[in-house]
Amino acid sequence: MNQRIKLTGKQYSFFKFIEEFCYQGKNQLSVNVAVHRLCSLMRKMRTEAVVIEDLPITSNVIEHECLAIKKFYNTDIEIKAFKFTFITEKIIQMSDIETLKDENFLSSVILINYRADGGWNSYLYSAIVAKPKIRFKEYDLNLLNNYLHIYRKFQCEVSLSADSVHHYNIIGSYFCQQNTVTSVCAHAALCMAINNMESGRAITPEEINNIIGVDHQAKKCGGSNANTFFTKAEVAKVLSHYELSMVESDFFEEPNRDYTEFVYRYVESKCPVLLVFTTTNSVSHIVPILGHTVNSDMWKPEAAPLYSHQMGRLNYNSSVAWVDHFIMHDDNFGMYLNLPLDSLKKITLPKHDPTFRAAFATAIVPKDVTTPSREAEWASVIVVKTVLQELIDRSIILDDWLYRIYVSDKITPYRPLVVRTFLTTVKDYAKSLDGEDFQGYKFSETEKKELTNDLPELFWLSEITLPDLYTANRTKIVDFFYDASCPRLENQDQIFTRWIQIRFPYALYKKKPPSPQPLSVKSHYPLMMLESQKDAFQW
Amino acid sequence: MEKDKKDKNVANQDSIFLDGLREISKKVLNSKLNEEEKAQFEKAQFAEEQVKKSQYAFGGRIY
Repeated sequence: MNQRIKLTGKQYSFFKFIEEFCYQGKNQLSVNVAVHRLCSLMRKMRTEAVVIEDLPITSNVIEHECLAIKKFYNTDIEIKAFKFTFITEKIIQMSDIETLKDENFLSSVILINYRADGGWNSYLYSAIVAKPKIRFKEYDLNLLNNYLHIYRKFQCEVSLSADSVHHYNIIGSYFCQQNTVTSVCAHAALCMAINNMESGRAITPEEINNIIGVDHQAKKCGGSNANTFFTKAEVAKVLSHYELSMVESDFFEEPNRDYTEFVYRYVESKCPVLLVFTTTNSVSHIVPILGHTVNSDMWKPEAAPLYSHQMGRLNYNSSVAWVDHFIMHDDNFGMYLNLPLDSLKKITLPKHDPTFRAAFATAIVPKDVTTPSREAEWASVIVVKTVLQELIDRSIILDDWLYRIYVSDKITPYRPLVVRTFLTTVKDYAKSLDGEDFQGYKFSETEKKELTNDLPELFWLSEITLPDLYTANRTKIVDFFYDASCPRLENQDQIFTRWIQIRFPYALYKKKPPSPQPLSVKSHYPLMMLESQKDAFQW
Repeated sequence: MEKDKKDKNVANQDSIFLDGLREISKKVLNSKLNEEEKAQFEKAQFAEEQVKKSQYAFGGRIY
């Protein structure tokens, strides 16, 4: 029978499972770490059974991939593929699967083994893996302070017999590995980034090869005789094919630029970021960043500016200061891995110390986003502080919260503001207006309309707050709205013309027409929760 | 009585702040960037322009 079940609870060895199905380790000192990571995650998420299916190379899900490998080697090499469906319940027979709920399915995985160059090579061609969660009694708990922003619902299926399948959904993310001959890590990173976006695409490395003209004969991208490399222009071509655009940052050209701020603002905007880092002098690796963790007890955000005597309006803290890891997929090591932010930061100059550091990042954004996130965030601080200064200059007494914002860079010890900037839509912002402020005040229906009726479909939102409110209450004082589709700044003063509106406590201040309107919300108000944060388990 | 007083204060704050905003909205906000901030903007913008010409990241061999 093509389908069989293995019980994977206590006493079942995943090392033996890997030895049986992942041929790479057979008769050679080689191991596929990502397969081990998959099994470790399944163990942590309390898998009790796995359904194993033999996948013929003519199966429509792997046919093009297998043909590409054979074309690369120009011979009919041996290929053996399996599909695994990991489940949280003990099942005895295939028909038991029909009684399971969606949350009982942990992953749907395709592993391909091919024999070439004197041995077996194995790779995860695709792995849909549920968001990591902790099974506690009958409940599934999300991981503490863990924010995966780029993920979605995947429709999957498992064969029950030769002629029947069971359909189910996994809420999680897509992972894949390069096969090193017809795909390299750039293929894997692009597939992982694009396939996890809400648009629901399911692109393959071979689709990418078709777009960039790699045919595995005249033009080869992998293997020891590769004659073409994955250039930036090719990445742009692939993204353009899917009606996506990119924003880049080069940390070798601009070594003082903090890679974490760039990456964070786009990930917070639900835009995956492709991060390139150097390994040795001539080799780089690329991984998709899909989320982050937060530590609200962090020492550095408040202590560093004081001890290093950094002052000034632009020495605020981006909320990334409380992020301790990015959540990424690394096709060499597996899915949902935590990258400590400092591990790829260096204080030396890249030309003298080029290895193992962040080199380049590409954020994948909707086509009409042109304004840099950095410009929006800097403008938020400058414009809001300028408005407050103008009010003070006219002897207007500010309310307590705005006064605390105003004096944040004037008091001792210096307490930098916190700014959280991300792309959002009118629809999502409107949803965030149903809350109440710290004193219990809410926006009226008329105010909600007024807050949203002049906004473009997509814009940069900067939430401005104080460190104590950010870490303890997760609330904000000011919302600053900035145009996301602006051309290059001709001079810095243009930031004073590109903002759309500012929501203060007590009032909404629109740039056009200049008529401030009263608002019912007067105190600090909950930070906007992204859809992905609503079920977050946070401290 | 305490609540009435608080609500009254809130109402006063509301109108004082709105009046102030109305006053400053009559003219375009003046640029108040200092030299250091201007330099920061220029430097960041220059880097953002340069990166568009850069071929480094995907030009090398990526594994």
